[in-house]
Amino acid sequence: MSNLAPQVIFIGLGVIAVVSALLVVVGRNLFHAAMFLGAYMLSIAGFYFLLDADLVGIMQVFVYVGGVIVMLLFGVMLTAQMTNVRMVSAVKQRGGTVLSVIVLVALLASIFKKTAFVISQATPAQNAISLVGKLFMTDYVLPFEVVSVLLLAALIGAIVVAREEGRPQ
Amino acid sequence: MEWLQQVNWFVLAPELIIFSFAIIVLVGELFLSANAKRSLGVVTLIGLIASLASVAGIWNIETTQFNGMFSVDLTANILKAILLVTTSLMVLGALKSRFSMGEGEFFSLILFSVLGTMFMASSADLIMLFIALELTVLPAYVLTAGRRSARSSEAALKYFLLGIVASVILLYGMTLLFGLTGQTNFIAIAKELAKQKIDATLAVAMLMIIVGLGFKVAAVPFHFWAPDVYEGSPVPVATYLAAGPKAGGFAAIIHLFPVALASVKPAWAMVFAALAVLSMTVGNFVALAQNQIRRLLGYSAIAHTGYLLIGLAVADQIGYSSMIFYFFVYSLAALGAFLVVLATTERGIGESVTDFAGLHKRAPMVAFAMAVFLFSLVGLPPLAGFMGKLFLFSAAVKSNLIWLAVVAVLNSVVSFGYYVTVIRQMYLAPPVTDKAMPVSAPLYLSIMLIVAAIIVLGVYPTAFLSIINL
Repeated sequence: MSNLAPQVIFIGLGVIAVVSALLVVVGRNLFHAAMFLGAYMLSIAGFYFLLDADLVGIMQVFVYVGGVIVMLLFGVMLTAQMTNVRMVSAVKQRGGTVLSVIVLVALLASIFKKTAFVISQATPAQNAISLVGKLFMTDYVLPFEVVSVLLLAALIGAIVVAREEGRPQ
Repeated sequence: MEWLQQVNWFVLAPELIIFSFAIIVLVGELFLSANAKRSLGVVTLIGLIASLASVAGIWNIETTQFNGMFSVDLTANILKAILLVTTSLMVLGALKSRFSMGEGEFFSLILFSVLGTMFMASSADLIMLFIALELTVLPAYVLTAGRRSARSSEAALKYFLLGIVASVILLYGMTLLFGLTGQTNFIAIAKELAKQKIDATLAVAMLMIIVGLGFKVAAVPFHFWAPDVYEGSPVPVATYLAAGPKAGGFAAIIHLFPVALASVKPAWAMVFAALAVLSMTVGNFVALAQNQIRRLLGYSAIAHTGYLLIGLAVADQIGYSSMIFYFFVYSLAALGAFLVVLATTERGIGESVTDFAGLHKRAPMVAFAMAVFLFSLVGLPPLAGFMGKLFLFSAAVKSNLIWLAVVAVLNSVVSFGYYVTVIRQMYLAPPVTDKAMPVSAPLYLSIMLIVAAIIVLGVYPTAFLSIINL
């Protein structure tokens, strides 16, 4: 039982992830595509929870499902002409796309089958959040601070780009 | 908090200075009057020079701080110094320019990008490297979008989308590398990889990292964004992009590959050799067909990425040192050429090559400077470009890559073809008007400083080489 349950959940999540990701790409309706993208992001969060990575899972839900998808839907719905756009992808791209996807999947599959990746022997941390917080303030303090500079730069950049039309020059 | 006292903050001084000035300039944009904002460029320049002085202060220090995240060594310091010198010259040249965004925003974004590049030069860890890389390019995307025109937006969008794809591929390569070793520190990765036998996954990880960083330095076949960005972005931004962010890309490659991926050195040296040949050949031959000056310089930049990659194909200390020297020489000449383009665009000409017709009558010194820059890019003696190419190609010959040196020399001959069209326009074609073309004082000063540097480095390269221990 204890071994079977994670297996079943994993396969279930995997099927949801692959099917919804495919529907994002082949779907013709932009709104539906955004919803399927949300489903895909949620199933990825499920993987993180399955791996005992609670914090990463929560962040995945917060940032991607709560932030990115909602913003995407706002963008789709506030742009009047876009709500019911039926996208037509060029036929000439289809063959190449399918081929490169098959090659990539085959390559990655063979890699993951053959390679012995390093697996940590440590038991999963019980209070991951406080542990991560401590690491941010000690071992990883420099990347943590540089990320905050990056966010500041992104914020300024977003304002500069967004203000573009309002300010005549 | 005792660990904080163990950190040698002194080695972080150049970065801290740049960061403080970025904030100062940004706050200045908020509170200063429109007239006083004109001086923000000078403030930026002071910050860059102060940072350069502090780099000189830690020149020979070699240390790793912050739990192996941040390492300072001579290579990192040289690349930071090159970056700061070229960016200072760019800021000096652009002091009197008009920006389509606020001065404070413009200069703080430039400083943030410089900060990212400096962290890239000093990163010794995959996490740090990735974050620094994003900090380098993110302000560059915004700056590219600065001109309110369709072409500028198109360039920014292309740059952004291709940059994101490159980052994702780079990240995938990094995660594979982490999966193989369980480490993110370069030295720790090398130790783990030395124990293992080489397998296909490592090759895939290596290729993905090369693709990701190849985008950043605009090597063929990952170069599509470069000509559009150089053409579409505001000229001061194109001037910055021609030198600045590339220093970060090459710094990352010099630190990542010889250290972390030492066990597969012949493989990546071979890949870099192939990229070098492709970049040189495609860059030079496509440049022959260009009649827009900035597209021409864009393809010339791609070709020069090819020359620079020779240093990585050589893959020894002489190769890296020659590459760094050539990088300095190249970025000076490219910077100068873009500054001349800036000088002409400020007078409403300078988009196409024929705009340069008779420039030597209208602005003799500027035309002379442009000729010096272009001849240096070709690699004619006694200019710095010649010495740079000499060192680089002889490094290739020394390590039995004679075919690569031959391809590079042939390419230099081809490149003569398009540089000389610009020079012919300036000196032989009749000018449209005889009216003198005035150039603002700081821009003129910046251009002349670069001319002096190129001539000095060409005649007496030992001055610089003894500093970089070649």
